[in-house]
Amino acid sequence: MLTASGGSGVSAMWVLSSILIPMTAAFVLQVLDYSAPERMGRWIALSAAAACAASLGAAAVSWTGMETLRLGGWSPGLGIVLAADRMSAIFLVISAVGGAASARIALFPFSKEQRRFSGLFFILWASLNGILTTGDLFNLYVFFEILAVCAYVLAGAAMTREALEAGFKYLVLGTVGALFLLMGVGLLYMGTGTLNLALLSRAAGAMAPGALGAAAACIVTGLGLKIGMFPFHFWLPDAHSSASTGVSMILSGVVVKASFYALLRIVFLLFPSVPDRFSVPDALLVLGVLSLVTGHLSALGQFDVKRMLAWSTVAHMGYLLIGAGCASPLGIAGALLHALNHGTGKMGLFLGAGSYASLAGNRDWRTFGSLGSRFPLETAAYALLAGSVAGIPPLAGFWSKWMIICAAAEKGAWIAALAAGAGTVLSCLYYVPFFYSLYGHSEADTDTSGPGTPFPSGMLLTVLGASAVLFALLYLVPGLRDQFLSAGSLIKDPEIYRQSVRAPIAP
Amino acid sequence: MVLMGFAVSVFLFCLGLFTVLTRRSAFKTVIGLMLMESGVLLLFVSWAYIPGGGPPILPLQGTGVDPLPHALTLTAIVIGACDIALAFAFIMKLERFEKSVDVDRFRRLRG
Repeated sequence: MLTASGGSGVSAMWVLSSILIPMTAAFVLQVLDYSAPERMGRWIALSAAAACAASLGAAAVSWTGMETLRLGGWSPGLGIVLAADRMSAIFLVISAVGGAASARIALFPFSKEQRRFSGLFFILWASLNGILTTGDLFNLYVFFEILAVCAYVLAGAAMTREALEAGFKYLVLGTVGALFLLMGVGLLYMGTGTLNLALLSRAAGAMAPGALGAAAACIVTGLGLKIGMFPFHFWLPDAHSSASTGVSMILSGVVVKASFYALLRIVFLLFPSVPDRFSVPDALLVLGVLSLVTGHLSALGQFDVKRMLAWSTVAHMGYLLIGAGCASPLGIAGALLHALNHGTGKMGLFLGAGSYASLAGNRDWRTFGSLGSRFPLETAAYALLAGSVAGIPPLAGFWSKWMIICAAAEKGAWIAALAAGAGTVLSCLYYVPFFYSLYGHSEADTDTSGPGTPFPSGMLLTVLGASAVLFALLYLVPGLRDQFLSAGSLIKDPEIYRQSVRAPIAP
Repeated sequence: MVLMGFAVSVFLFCLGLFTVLTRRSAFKTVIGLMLMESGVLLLFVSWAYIPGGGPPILPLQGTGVDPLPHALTLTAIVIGACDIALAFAFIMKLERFEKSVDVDRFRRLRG
C-alpha cells in the first residue's frame, strides 16, 4: 500500500519510479544478457531512455510543489518517506541529463567489456535519484553507500594500474567519509530519537550544543570527503581522471552534485545559520574559498587534460560551497544554477577531452596538434563549454557565478567574492594555452588517426555546447530566474519541508 | 554503561582513523577501516540497549530494545563487508602490478 500527500497519488509515483526504473533495469538487463545477448544494445538504450524519462518526470512533478510519498503507509517516524521539492527537481534534471549522456558514452558502442558494467551503471543512477528524493538519513546513508560502491568499481573498471590505484584511493577515502557520515547520523539519533529529516529539523534545536556541533562536524567531514571539499579533495583528481570517459562524465557531472545536494539539505534543515555566530554555513564559506583556490591553482600546472578538468571540478565545488555558505536565497539559487551549468559543462568538457585524447593517442594536451583546425565545429562547441565553465560572459556559467559573487558581496564576504572573480582569470590561464595548442601551436603533433576519422561523439558534444549558451536564459529570463530564487528561499525555510512531510495522509 | 560504550566506540573510531592515515601496508589500511566501522556500530548498539530489554521482535515480551539502531547496524555490517571485499579485490589487482602491498608504492598519481 502506498500513500501519497501533497499531490495526487499518480504524480508522487513518478518520484518512486525515478528510483525503481533504473534499479529494475539493472537487474533485468543481467537476465536479458543471458537470453538475448545480441539485442542487449537496444535493451540498454531503452532502459536508459526510461530511466531518463522517470527522472525528468519526477523533476516535473516536484517542481511545482513538494511531493511526499510514504511507502507502506507508515507514519513518517516509522516508515520510509520520499520527499522531493524544487531543489530536488533541479538536481533530478542534472541526474537525468547526465545519466543519459554518460550512458550514451560509457555503454555505446556496445561491447562485451562494457556489458559487465551496465548493471552497475544503472544501480548508480538509481541510488543517485534515491539520494535526491529520500526524506530520512537512514536511506540517505544506504543510498550513499550503494552509489559509492558502484562508483569505486566504475572508477577502477579500466583495470589499468592508474585506474586501480585511483579506485583503491577512492574506496578508502569514500569509506572513511561514509563512516564519518554514519557517526554523525548516530549522534543525531542519540540526541533526538528519529532519523526522519523533517522530524529531526524540529528536534535538533533541543539537542545539547556540544552533541549537535559534533554531529555537524562529522556530517560536514563525511559529505565533504564525498564532494571533494578542501582539505579532503586529493582523491578526486585521481578518480575522475583515471576512469573511462563516460564514467568521468557521470562522476564529475552528477555524483559530486548529489553529495552536494545532501549537504545543502542537511545543513539548512538541521544546522541553519545563526546571525552573529560562527555557524555551519560560515564554515562552508571558508572551506569553499579554500577549495576554489586549491582547485584552480592545481589545475594550472596540469598537462594531462582530464586531470586538469578534474582539478577544475574541485574548484567548482568551491563555488557551490560559497553559494551555500552565503545562506541567502540568492546564494543558494546561484549554487543550484551553477550546479546545473557546471554539471552539463563539465560533462561536455570530459566528453571532448576523451575524444581529443583518443584521436591524439594520449591525454597530454600539448600534443593535440592540429585537431582544432581539423574539427572546427566540435572545437567551437568545446570552447563554448570551457568558456561557460570558466565564467566568460555572456555564457551560462557566467550568470550563475555572478549570482554567487553578488550573494557573497551582499553578505559582506569580500574575500569570497574576490576569489570567485579571480577564479575566472585563473581558469582562463589554463584554458587559453590549451586552445592555443589545439590550433596547431604545439610542440609535437602526434595525431595518428587517418584524415577521414570522424570526431568521436561530436553530435553530443555540440548539443552540450549549445546548452552552455541556452542555459544563460535561465538567468536572463526574469520568470525563470525567479523560479530558482524561490527554490533558494524554500531551502532557507525548513517549515515548508517539515509540514509537507507531516501532512495528514490524503485519501 | 552508555558512557562507557560511547568512550570505547570513539576510541575505536580514532584508532581506526589513525591506522588508515599512518600505516603503509594496504591490509592495515583495510583493518583501520574495519576498526572505524566497529566503532560506529558499537555506538549504535550500546545506545540502543535498554536495561532489561529483550529482542524487539513481535509479539514483544516485556521491554524491547530500540529496533532502529539495530536495523541500521545490520545494514551497515552488510555494506561494510561489501566495501572490504572490494578493497581486497583492488589490493589483489594492484599487487599484480607492483608485487607489493605497500600503499606508498601504489601512490604514483600525484599533483
